[in-house]
Amino acid sequence: MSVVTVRHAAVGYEGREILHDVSLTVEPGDVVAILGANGSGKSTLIRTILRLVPLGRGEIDLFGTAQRKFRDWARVGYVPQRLGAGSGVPATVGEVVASGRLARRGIFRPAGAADKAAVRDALTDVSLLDRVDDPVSTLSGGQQQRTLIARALAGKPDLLVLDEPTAGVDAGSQEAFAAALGRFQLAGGTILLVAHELGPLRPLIDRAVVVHQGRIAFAGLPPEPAGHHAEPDHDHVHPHAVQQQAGICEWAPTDRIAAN
Amino acid sequence: MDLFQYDFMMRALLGALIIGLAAPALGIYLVQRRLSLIGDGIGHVALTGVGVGLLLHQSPVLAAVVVAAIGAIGVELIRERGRTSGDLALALLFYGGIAGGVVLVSLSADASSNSLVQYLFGSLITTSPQDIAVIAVLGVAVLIAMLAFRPALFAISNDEEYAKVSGLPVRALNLLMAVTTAVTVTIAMRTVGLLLISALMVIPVAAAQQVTRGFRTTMAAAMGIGLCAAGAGVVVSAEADTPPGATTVILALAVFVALTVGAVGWRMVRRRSQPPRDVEPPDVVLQEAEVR
Amino acid sequence: MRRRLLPVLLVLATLAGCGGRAATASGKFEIVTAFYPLQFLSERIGGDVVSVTTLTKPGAEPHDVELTPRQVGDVAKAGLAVYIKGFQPAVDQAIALEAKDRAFNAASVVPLLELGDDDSGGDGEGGEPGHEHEEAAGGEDPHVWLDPVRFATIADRLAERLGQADPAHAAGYTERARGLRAELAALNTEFTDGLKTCQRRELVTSHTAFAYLANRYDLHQVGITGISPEAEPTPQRLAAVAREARATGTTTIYFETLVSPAVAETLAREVGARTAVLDPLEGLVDQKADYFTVMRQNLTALTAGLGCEG
Repeated sequence: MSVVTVRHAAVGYEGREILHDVSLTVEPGDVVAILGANGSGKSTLIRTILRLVPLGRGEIDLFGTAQRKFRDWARVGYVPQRLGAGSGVPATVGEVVASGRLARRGIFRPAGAADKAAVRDALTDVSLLDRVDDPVSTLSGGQQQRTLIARALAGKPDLLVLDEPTAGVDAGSQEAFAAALGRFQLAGGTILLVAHELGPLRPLIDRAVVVHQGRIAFAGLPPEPAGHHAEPDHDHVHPHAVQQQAGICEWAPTDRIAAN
Repeated sequence: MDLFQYDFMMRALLGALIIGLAAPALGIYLVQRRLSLIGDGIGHVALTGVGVGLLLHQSPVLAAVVVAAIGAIGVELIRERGRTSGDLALALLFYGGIAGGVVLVSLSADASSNSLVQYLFGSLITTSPQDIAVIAVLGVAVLIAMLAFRPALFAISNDEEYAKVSGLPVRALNLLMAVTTAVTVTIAMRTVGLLLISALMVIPVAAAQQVTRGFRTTMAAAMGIGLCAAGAGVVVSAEADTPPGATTVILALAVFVALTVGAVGWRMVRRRSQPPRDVEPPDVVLQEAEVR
Repeated sequence: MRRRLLPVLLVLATLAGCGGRAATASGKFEIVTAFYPLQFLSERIGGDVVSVTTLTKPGAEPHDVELTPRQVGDVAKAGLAVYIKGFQPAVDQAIALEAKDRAFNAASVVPLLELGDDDSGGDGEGGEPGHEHEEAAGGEDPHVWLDPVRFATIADRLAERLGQADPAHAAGYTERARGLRAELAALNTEFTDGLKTCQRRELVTSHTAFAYLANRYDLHQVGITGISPEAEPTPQRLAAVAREARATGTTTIYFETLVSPAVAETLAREVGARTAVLDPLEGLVDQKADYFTVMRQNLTALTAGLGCEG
C-alpha cells in the first residue's frame, strides 16, 4: 500500500489552473523531495495532498484510502513553512508542540501521561527540551522551525510533510533537524518535503520530483546542482528565466539519470 | 452605608462576576486571531436584534441573541472565504447594526431611541432574578465550552491550517466560537452595555499577556483579572455612585496600565542582572584585522 | 417691462403664501400641540372648527422626542402651536424658529413648582437626597397638567388665545372651555375626597412626574430616578429610596406606562411591595381613553395603594 498516490491531479485557484495532470506515488519509507522554482506549483501540490487546497480533477489516495474518505489524519504530520504572525498572546514551546497530540487523542479527551511523554520525546529529538516553557516568540527562526517539527513528530505520524523546512533557517538548526528527520526515516517513517534547495538534507533524499509550470518535469534520483547552484553560499533566491530548454531548468543531467 | 444588604446589589455583583469570568475566557481566542473588535461588531448587530424585539414586543434580549448569532456566523463565513478584508466586514456590521436598531425602534409604536440607552450602557441595577438565572446559565455554558475545548481552540487560533491537517473539525469549532461570541455579547449587554463589551473581553487579556509566558497562564490570569475588575467595579461604583459597567472598564484599564509599567520596569531590572542566554553559533567567524 | 414683472410676481406669490396660512384646504384653524394633555385641551376647546395635530406620536415617550422634517413643517404652518416650554427641547427649538409669534406656552399661565418642591402645603422646601434634576426653564417642574385646578386655568387661557387668533369662533371656544372647567372642578372634588384620609401619604414612583398632584392633594412624592425617566438609578439612589419605602411601610411602587417597569419592579422586589401603574398622562396608551378616564384610573390606583377610604 502506498503512502500517497496522486493520479492525474489538476488544481486551480480563482480560475487559474496551477497544476495540470500531476501523478506521483510515495511508498512507505521513501524520502521524496519536491523541487521547483517559485510559482511552479510545488507548494500547491503538497497543500492539495494535505487537503488544504481543493482538488480540481483527478484522485488522491492516502494510505490506500481515497482522500475525501480519509479520517486517520493522526498518521500525517505537517510542518508548515513558518510559525505564523504573532498576535501578542503568548504560547510556550510546550503548548505549541502539545497541539500536535490533538490528532491522536481527539478534541474531547484531556491530555494524559502519554501525551506529555510524547511532547517531551519530540522536543528532545529536536534538542529543544530546555526551552519547553519559554514563549515561542523568544526563539530564533531556526528554533521556531524545530518547534514546528517537534509538533508534527509529537503525534507519532507515519508520514511527515514539510513545506520548505530550510528556508531562512540557520545552519545549526538545519543540521539538527536533518538529524531528526534521519531518525524518523530509520524508524520507518515516510517523508515528503518541498524544498528550494536541499543543503544538509541532500543525503536523506531518495527521490526528487521537479515541478515546472504545473507539471512533473522530472522524477528520479536527486540531480547534482550545476553551475552557481553548486556553490556553498548559494541561497537560491533569484528569478528563473521564463524560456526553458527541455523543461529542466539549469540542473545538468548526468548519465545516471533517466529523464522522464 | 452597606449597599450589599440589598438584593439588587447582590444580583448586580453576581451578574458582573459571571461576565467578568466568562468574557476573557472567550476574549483570549479572539485576541489570538486578531479579532479583538469583533465583540463590538457583534454588539452593534445585537442592537438590531434589540430593535426587532422591541418592534415585535418580544423579549429584546432573546431577539438580540438570535440576531447576534446570525451576524456572528455571517462574519465567520466571510472571514473563512477571505474575500472581504476583516476590518471592512466589521465596519459594515458596526454601522449596519446600530442604524438597523435605531430605525427599527423608530418604527415601533411605543419605543424610542431612548429605550436603546439601557442596552448601550448596561442596566445592571435592574436585573431581575430571572435575568440573573439566564445570565448564570449562559455564562456557565460559555465557560464550560471555552475551557473544555481549550486544546482544540488553542490549536485553531494558533495555526488554523495545521489544525485542519490534524483533522480537527475546524469549521464547526469556528462556528461554535461565533455563537459563543454572540451569547457572551448579549449577556454582557446587561452589565457593561453593548458599547463596552469588547473591553471586558479584551482588556484583561491584554493586561495578562504583559506578564505571562504561555497560553494557559494567560487565560487563567485574564479570567482572574476580569473577575476582580468586575467585582471591584461594582463595589467601587456603589461607593462612588458611578455607573457599574463603566467603572469596571476603567478599573480593568488601570490594571492593564499597572501591569504594563510593572513589566517594563521588571524587564529593565532583570536585563541588568542576568547574563545573556545561549546564542546560536555564528554563521560567520570574525577575525581581528591585522594591523600592519 | 417683462423683466420687472417676474420679480414682482414672485414677491406677490410669496406674500400670498405668507398670509392665510392658518386655513387649510378644509378651512379649519390648524393647531399643533406638543404632546397628549395639550392635544386633549385643544380638541375639547376647539371642537369641530379646529384641526389638531400632535408632535409626539401616541405611545411614545415625550421627553426626548425628535421631530421629523415634516413635523417641523407642520409647526411652521400652524395657526397656533401649543406647548410647554422646557419639557421637550426639540419642540422648543422648532417653535422658536418657526412659530415664535404663534405659540402658546401652557406653563407660563399658571404658577409653577420648583423641581424637588413637592411637600404638602407648598412650602417650597425639601427634595430627596441624591435627587437628579433635569432643568426645565429655570429649574421648574413642567408636569402641570396633573393638577386639575391648574389644568382648568390653562384651558381658560388657551380659549382666550384661540379667540384672539381665530375671532370668528371665539364664542365657541369660551363656551367649551367653561364646560371643561366644570368637568375639571368635579374631578378635583373626586380627588380631594378620595385622598382625604389615607393610611400612607408617601407616593413612590419611577420618575418624579407627580409633584403637582402631590402638592394639590397633600401627598409626599418619592421618585426613584429624577424628573426625567432615565434608564437606571445609581445604586445609592435605589438604596435610599428602598430605605425610605421600608420606613414608611409603602405597599405599592408606582410606575408609568411608557417606560420599562424594570426599575419599579426591582425596588418592589427589594422592599416586598407590589407594583401598580400610575399614568403621568405624558402620552395615551389606550386610544379609547382620555384625560378624565386616565385620571380616574390613577385615583383608583392611588386610593388602593395608599390605603385611602372614600
